[in-house]
Amino acid sequence: MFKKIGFTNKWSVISFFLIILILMPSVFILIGFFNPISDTWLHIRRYLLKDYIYNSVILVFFTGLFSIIIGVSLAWFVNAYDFKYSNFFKWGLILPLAVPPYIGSYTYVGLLNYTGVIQTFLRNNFELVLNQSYFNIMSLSGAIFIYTIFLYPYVFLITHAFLQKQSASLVEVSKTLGKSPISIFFRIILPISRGAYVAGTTLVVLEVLNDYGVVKYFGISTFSTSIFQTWFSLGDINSAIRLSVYLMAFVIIVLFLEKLSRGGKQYSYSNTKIKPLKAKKLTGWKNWSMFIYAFTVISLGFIIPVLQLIYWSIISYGKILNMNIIQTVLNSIGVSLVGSFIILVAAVIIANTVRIKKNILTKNYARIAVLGYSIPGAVIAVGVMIFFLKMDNFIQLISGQNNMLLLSSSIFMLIFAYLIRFLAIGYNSVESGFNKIGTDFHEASRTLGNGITKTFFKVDLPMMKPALMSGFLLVSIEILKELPLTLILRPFNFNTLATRAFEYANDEMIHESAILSLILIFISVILVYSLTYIKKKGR
Amino acid sequence: MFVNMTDIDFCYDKNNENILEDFELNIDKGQTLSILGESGSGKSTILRLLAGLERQKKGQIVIGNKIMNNENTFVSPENREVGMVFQDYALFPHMTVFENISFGISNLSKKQRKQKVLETLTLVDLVDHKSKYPHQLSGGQQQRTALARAIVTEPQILLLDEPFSNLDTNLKNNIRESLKEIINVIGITTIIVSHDKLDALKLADQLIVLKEGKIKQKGIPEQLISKPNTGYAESILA
Amino acid sequence: MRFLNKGSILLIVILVFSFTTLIMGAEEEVNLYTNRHYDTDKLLLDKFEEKTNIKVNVLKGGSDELIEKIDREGEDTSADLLITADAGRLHRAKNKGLLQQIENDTLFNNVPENLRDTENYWFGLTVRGRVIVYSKDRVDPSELSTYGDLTDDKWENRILVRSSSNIYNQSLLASFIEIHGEEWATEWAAGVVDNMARKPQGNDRAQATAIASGVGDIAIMNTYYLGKMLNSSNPEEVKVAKQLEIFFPSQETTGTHINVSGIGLTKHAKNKENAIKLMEYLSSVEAQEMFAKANYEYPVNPNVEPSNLLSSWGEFKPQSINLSKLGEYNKKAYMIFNRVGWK
Repeated sequence: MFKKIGFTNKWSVISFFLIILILMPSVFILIGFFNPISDTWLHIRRYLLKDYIYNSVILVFFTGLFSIIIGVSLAWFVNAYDFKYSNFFKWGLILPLAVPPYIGSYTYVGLLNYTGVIQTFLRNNFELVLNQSYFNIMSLSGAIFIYTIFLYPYVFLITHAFLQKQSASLVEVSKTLGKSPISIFFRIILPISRGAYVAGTTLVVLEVLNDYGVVKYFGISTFSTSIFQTWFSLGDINSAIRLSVYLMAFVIIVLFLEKLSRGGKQYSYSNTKIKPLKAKKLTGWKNWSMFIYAFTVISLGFIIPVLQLIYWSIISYGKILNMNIIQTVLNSIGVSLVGSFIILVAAVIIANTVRIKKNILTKNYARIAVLGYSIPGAVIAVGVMIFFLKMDNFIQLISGQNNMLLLSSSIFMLIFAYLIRFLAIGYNSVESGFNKIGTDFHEASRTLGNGITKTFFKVDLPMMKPALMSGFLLVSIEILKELPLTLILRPFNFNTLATRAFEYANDEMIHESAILSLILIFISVILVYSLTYIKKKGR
Repeated sequence: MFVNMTDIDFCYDKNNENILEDFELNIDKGQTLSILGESGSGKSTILRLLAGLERQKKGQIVIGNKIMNNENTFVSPENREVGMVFQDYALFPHMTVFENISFGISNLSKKQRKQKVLETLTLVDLVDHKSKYPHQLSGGQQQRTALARAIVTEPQILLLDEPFSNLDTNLKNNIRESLKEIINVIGITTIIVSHDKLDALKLADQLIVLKEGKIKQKGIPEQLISKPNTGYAESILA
Repeated sequence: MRFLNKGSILLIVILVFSFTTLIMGAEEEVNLYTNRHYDTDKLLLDKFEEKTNIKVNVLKGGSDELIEKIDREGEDTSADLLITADAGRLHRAKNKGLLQQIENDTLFNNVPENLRDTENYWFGLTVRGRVIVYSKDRVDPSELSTYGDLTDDKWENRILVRSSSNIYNQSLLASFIEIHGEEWATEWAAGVVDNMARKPQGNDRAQATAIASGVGDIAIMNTYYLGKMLNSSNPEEVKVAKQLEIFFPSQETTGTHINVSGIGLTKHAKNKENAIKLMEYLSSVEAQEMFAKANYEYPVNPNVEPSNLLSSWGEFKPQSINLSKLGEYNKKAYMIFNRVGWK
């Protein structure tokens, strides 16, 4: 029977067990949904659930909308036009990804509030005291701004990569058919890019639904803050589980809508010869307005926050010295590297299995593998914790030893949780890498007598290097920035840059938080830059 | 002279050499001109200049009494009424055949559009496929769609860039025949760029052989092919 | 083959990495779960280590997360001590069976009865009041009296207070439930909501800043925040704080609400003796002085004077309730807040 399902090789077997392992925590959560309802839940359902849904819908919808507008327009401008510093903007506009939204949130609050730089300047130099509501960012609209300005790069990145692969003739023929640039953008470019920007927006939306730091700081009640609150403050884990299931349902709806809007139509190319679009050089006011647009976006999303953080770091310089920074940095980097490596290995194993043996079982592997990204970090934390404690009990039962928490207090638990959460990212890179190289080479090698493993190392792997590197970098960035999950599952005395920056900020020690945030951003920038470098080289 | 290019200097990047230098070209109304040459000879460039997709450093382009391009003026592609069929056809993948063809005449009323598109579809013999998407068409059908899309707007001139290079030989012959008929029916001034002499023989009234931006030979296809005047021309026309 | 070598190196790195977090040294140590982040705490703990040669391992986190963690870890928990910034939370921990009773004379002497659990499951370390802070320019202190008075019409559009999701507010309301009953507490909360200058946002310090910027005139705030603002490294914050004055509500009636940062010994502590030593140290005069001076909190140890700043605010009459009640009524408080729409 196993032979029929294609279980005859190591890869399939390992994939199978990996998938089961990854599913376990989610299973525990779903089972928990059937636990009895508490009066707290009834209270939540009556007074609070509406707010959570409303806030989530607003945040998701508007962030998605603005991310598309900014991301697609910038991707197109940077692709089709040659304006001042447009070459820099091609990768520069990705930089905001290096700033985690929660760091962005408290940075802007500090920047804009009464005692911040802007208002102080106006007060001291112009004696201008403005209506505070102009500077009030701790609202739904403020959150939408924060999410948009730090997450639009997902849309930009994917759309830009897509547009670069499109043939110039599409635009040129449209010109000969009498269409103006605006018309061409809306009638040709936008519809064709739909697959790309929808994929990018999905990433943005998933990030929004997962976020805990921003909404917590701004005092916006959403599913994630509520999960934390009911689980920890009220000690009602069953309600927290119910909320998690609601959130997951929300995510599934979003993913479903995404699939719908991508449509069944295959917008693939009818032939293979592709000449890339040559950027049209802009002059005069057009040149400057485009530059100003791009520059404003990158200022808001990167330059201004970083400058503010640098300023704060300099002020609190003295207090930092006893802050044990080096250990924190090493922790962040270490767990990031190790986590990324493990995730990439898992992604490769599963993706390779899927592409070689396409049957009912493997088709669902891909879906399961990427499921984790849609589960909120806090929820994954619960599931993983329960799972590991049960494992620990099991081990103790077998070994008879009464040791302390072998597994569950270790870094393994944290990394396992990262695996569940970020496998999707590694998987997407690996999968697209495999798609690019196709199965021909693999099959040729197999017919020459090499097994799957040997073929992988000798044939597939060398060709996969760019995809693997991209995947590795992408996952590293995500782990580096990750907050809610790390807050809950980290072992004794283990802090990352993310957790410490968050804790300081939430403790109203903004200045002290700044230097940690800066280091985090700095490392992210290096990773982001490496990523764009690899993508460039790959072409 | 319906189409007139004089004194054209052109290069792609400022640092490179001129692809075209002091180039001149004249075409009478209703004529079909074939430009033959190896890749890099500049033949596609000529089309792109005529279409307004590139701008020359020096010289003037006139199409149908209107100055399209000189030192003082530049008429952008969307205003030149030039129909172009690209080598890769560039059919809009998200539109049906019908929608692709009606794309250029969207300023007409719905009724007028429908009528014109159907007329053109009949001309290129694609009526049965009007609701299909490009990826559902064969190579020849795609080419005919691209052609239909270009001519439905009733442009002043028709530019064809290597129109048959993606098709296999049998198909090529058939399509050449159809194309010749269509061009004759609508009587449009046409320029075909190609590296295949059969295209010239079958379709063109005039032929020029292009090497490194310079016209090596000019004349009636049959004559040139029987008497190439340079080694290069010979190789092209062989 | 090359890849395999790289792989084994990485594997070794992983193993080494995890080993270092697994191995608990054979040296003397005590494991502290705390939600306090103040750098002063670190200095104190360092001093303790110097004195006793006992290493203190610290896990910092939100109180709730820490309690949940200890709960999940059960018998195998690595926590010896739990410090939280709210008595209600300590009570929760006790109720979940996470703490154990201690009989210890030093602790009994250092921590007055009303500032520790009635059954000695936890002990307060610092005291903070939740008071009213008001604009010197726009508010006449004679207008202020009790917490209950805040529902009066005269305060319409003038009150600033943070979200109900914050434990300090929840404990405040819990204290009212204990003293005045649920109905009174509900009416009070609704009354305050009606008088709010804006929907709750930001933390305590943001409320104070909002007074300076004119959004409101009075705010409910913890005492130590005012101290911190007056000594902030941001001169603008100091300017703001100087425009404010502190008021201890309900002095003629039931007293000002107080809360404690406290410490408890976990039920399954593995280093019980060391833990108790740390508790004794933290409640000692030496440590209490540091707490008091550096973080603008009130010491619990009766032999220690509060800092100059706090002394300048004068003595005040605190609520005389059992602090365990703050935990008992926490859930009720949460529900009342939701019902009256205090966001």
